[in-house]
Amino acid sequence: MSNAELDAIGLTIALASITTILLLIFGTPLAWWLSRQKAKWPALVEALVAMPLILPPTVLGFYLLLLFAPDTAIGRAWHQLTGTQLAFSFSALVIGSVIYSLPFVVQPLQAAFQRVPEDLLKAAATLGAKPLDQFRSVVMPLTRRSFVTAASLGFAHTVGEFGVVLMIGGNIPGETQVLSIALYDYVESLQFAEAHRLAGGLVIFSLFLLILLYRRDRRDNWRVRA
Amino acid sequence: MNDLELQLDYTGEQHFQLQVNCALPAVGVTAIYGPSGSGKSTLLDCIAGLRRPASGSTVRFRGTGWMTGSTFIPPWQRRVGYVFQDGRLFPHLTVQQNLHYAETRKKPGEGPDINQVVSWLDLAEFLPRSPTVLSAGQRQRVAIGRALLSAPQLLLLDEPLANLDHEASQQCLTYLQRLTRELQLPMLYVSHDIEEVSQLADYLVLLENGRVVDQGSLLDLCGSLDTRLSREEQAAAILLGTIGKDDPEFDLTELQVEGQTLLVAQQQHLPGQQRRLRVPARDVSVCREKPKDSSILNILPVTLREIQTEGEGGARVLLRLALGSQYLLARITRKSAAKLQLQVGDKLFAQIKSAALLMDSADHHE
Amino acid sequence: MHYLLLLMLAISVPVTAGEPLRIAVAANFRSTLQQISELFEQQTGHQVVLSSGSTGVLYSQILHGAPFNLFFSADQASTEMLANKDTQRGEPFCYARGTLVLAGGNGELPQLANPVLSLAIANPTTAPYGVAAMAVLARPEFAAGQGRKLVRGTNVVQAYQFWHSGGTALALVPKALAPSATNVPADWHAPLDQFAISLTPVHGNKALESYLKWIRSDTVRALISKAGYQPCP
Repeated sequence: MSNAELDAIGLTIALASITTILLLIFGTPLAWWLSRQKAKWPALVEALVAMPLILPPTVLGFYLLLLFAPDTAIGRAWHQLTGTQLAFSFSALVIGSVIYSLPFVVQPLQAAFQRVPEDLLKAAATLGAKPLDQFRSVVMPLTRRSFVTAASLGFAHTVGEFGVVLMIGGNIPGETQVLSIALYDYVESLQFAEAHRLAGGLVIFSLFLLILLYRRDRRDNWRVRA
Repeated sequence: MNDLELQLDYTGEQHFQLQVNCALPAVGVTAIYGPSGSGKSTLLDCIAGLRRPASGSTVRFRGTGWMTGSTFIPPWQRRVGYVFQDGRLFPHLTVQQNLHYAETRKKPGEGPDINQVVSWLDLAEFLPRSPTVLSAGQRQRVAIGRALLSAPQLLLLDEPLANLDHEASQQCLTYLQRLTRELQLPMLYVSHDIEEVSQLADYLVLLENGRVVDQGSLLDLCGSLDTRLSREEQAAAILLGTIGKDDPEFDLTELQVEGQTLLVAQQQHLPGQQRRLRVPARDVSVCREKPKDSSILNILPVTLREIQTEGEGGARVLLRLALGSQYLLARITRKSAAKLQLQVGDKLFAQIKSAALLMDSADHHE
Repeated sequence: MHYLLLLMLAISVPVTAGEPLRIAVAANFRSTLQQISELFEQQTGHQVVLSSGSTGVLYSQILHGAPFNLFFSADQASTEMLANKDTQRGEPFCYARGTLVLAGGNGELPQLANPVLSLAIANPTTAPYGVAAMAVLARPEFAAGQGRKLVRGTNVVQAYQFWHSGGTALALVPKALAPSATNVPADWHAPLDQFAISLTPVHGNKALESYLKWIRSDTVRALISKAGYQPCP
């Protein structure tokens, strides 16, 4: 494997990992808030979270391209904070991926949180558990599996990202040339041997990940009693 | 100051309104009794802080404001133990871990020791098991234990025996009675079963359609004709007596009530202990002269204090009979009352079918 | 049975009435070819459909059987290779010579030596203008600029967009896209002679025949020149 291919794989893994971690950190409280609300507010937030599911990636890419340019407020702020340019950087890909894979992490978590009976949390409250404690000691153990699902989906979805990266990545080897872009390059320049390697590798990886995911389904068979 | 003061205004689902303005004793067992839908569980939830009444409501326990105009103390700070009707044990933890959950969150230095609780409720064999493999009765015992281990100042119980079969229910009741003896822990006990209530409560609150319609000591309310209790089919007065001698030949035991001796079925007890007797009104009949050759053993001299016709021109009347400072209720036909020409002040004899007496085994001090 | 025949006739009518002419055009030439084709449509009534992308992308699509009648490449090599692979295709002919320009900043070429200024170019693996840009950047006087942020667009148009949206400071793009930008000296890179080739037989295809004549007309040559291209050598 050439350096370029290794770079692409490394970048993709880094991008997917960082995105997944960020989504778990920020997506969990969001999913929790959505699962507990009874007011109208969450409907709007839910819709926003779900948008990346429906909108073509190019739409997201288009808006991000405009937003990240150095002469915008965001671009300038970034430059002030870090000294580097946001447009066409790995960080830009992370931001784009976080938005793009958001529903894949938030929705499974939200569904799982909703399945935790409110009654158990009330019981925990009377035993002296504050809300954060309730979440940690009751909700999280009961929804362990969904965290794995959410993380896997977020990771896999980011690995497969193409349209957004195509729009905002700039195809810089070692910085923004992720697997899907490198593959695209190889195919369009007729380097089929390299293309086979990358594509085949990606298929095997995805299969492996999905088998792991579906195998876990069969465990965890206690049911939550009301 | 030893009170639980409540001024609650709460609107729940489907426009259910709870409006309670009363003071309950913060000592002993207070039962909250009423039909389904009367708001009993809602009341407990409001006391625990799980539901938030409208602003302006007050909840004060022994002088501490749990909810006042300016403050709302959340449930996890109120140190209120809650035993739910469905147990609500954590399914992802073993019994031991469930108990431990309460232990690690309590105020240190307070509350019973875990070994004590395990011993009181006979939980030792369940400790390593998952709650999902226990029977309903066993789960309730664990739930009670868990609530106790959180070192509460007040224990709330929401129909804890409702989901249990008769045997499990009786067993659990025995455990609860044991607890009321061992702990100085005030309890609020919700039930729609008056017999259950009679076995545990010192004080009674009657709830109907979200409002308190009556409250008072158990003995007082049960012996009164003014509450809806007396209008129930299973209306019964409660007598307080002291255990006397045994009659081993006939498997009977004496119970001394207001200087009279009653004979009841032999029970596990010690002489000198106080016991309650539940005497259903329908099992009490009256006569003017003391019958000589009757199969009924328990015949007591009483004075008629009140007569009340049931309903509008009903076929039956309720009698309130004084036995010393305690009261009995009797339900007879209006015809019989007329035949006997009963009048307030009459000296009569009350006959109690011994089979109708329910013995409880709690040790209550009035 | 009669209805079936009628149905077949009905379908065949639009076929004989003239299928649209499908033309693949390199991204840099697209807008120019658009104008040319519109005039053609007005004058002859033949319909024209354009698909554009980078030269390499279009080349590989054609190789895999994409149904184009005509291919306007941004280089010569692609058309030569296509001609060699299939004799049914016509002879490649030059239609324009492209000019590379530097857009952005103060417009001066020495900016390419400044590593602080980010630069957008078309992907060299698929676009001749990208190859030309790389040749320019390899020049010793711009060695100091090696550490710059170099952004590659999938085709010249995306490279232009990256710059135009403010993402990069500079761009090396065709003059056709940025007519007022600074010309890069033509001897700094291999000539950007743009060749075209017909992919299906001309004989029997009236639309294709007319189009090929049209391309060589004076009107069209004037249009191409106005768009910023040089005439072929």
